[in-house]
Amino acid sequence: MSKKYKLKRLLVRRYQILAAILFILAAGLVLLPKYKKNEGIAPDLLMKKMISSERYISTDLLADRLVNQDPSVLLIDTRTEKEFQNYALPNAINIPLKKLLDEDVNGYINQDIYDVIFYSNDNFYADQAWIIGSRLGYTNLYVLEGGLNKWFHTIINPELPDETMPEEAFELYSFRKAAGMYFGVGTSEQKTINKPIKKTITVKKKKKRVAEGGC
Amino acid sequence: MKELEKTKRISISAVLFLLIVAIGILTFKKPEYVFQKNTETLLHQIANNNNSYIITLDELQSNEAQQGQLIDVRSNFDYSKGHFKNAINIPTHELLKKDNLELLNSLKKGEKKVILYGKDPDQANTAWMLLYQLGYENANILCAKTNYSNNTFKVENYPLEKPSVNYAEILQSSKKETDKNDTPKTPKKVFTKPKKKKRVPEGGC
Repeated sequence: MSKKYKLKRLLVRRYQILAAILFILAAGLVLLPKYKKNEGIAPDLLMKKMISSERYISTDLLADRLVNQDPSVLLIDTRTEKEFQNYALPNAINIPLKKLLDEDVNGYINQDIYDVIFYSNDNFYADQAWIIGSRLGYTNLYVLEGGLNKWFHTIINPELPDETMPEEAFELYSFRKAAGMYFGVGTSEQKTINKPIKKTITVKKKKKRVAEGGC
Repeated sequence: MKELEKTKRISISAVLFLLIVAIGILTFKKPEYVFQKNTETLLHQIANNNNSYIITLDELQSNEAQQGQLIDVRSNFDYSKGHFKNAINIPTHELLKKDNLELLNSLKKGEKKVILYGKDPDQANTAWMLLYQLGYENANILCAKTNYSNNTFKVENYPLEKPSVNYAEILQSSKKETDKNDTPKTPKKVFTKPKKKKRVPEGGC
């Protein structure tokens, strides 16, 4: 009799009991080990991005885009402020590597309107900035290959090609020379170009006429 | 009748609940590799720690005895042509392979330094960034340029992030030059007036 009675009581309270079991199970979730989550993209994906050289943009291509005033270029100087004051590429924004993750700077890097091009003296720091940005999943990031050093040796002070070199080398040279002039550098060769050509106006001499006789 | 319907509903919901739990457990995938360092600590390490992760060539040669393991991150082909003595070859794209990670783990456990080098520090840098983020704090970069020429493996010092010229100076001096050039003297335009020649008086009629 008592057994039946107990079962009946249990059946009446079965919903409460079920709810209690669920609550206990839910509370158990807290005890589970902390789920490790990657910040940004996964390591193997980052590695694939890092080993490809797609991120590099050559100095010639950059010069071409700057000369043509491409509005989508956003140059970011990762050197220190002092170096930036000393010399920087036209329209570049200074974000020293230290301040890369500052909040007020984030708007420049984390966007998909401009092509962000990092540069430093070499491409070591620019690469590091690129890797951090890529890990966080930012797109449209590039690195100026060779940095300012290569910029100076190719655009500002290009090497004269040998006579035996193909025509393309000479075309590239004249492009670089012209780009260098655009960025405010005049070289000795420019003088010859700048020499004004003397204008000579030749006046036709009138021929002596034989005195015309009257009628 | 009503009671039967109620139990039916309960059993259905219970089965569904268990099914969801089972699916959740089965599809749970643990990420294979997990970054141990977040980007902030990484940035702190590269920007504020006075390049403590970079080993110069002199440092490597001066106390070779207590050095750690050299790892060549160049391709297999470059490695086979010439490499440092005692260096092992792990190209960057193979760093996440199982046996390579095991090797790195054992080096980390033994607190042995890992020195990465490539054809230049830039190449070693990518490998280092990856390893550091995965928690291998014992990794370092060798600041040297390596190349293979004349059948010998050559190592040179590499000036890291050093401006090769004083940019501002060059630009200024060239500006002066251009300033001079910019104002070319325009020659006075000389129009020679044709002299009127004395004409022989023309005879009238």
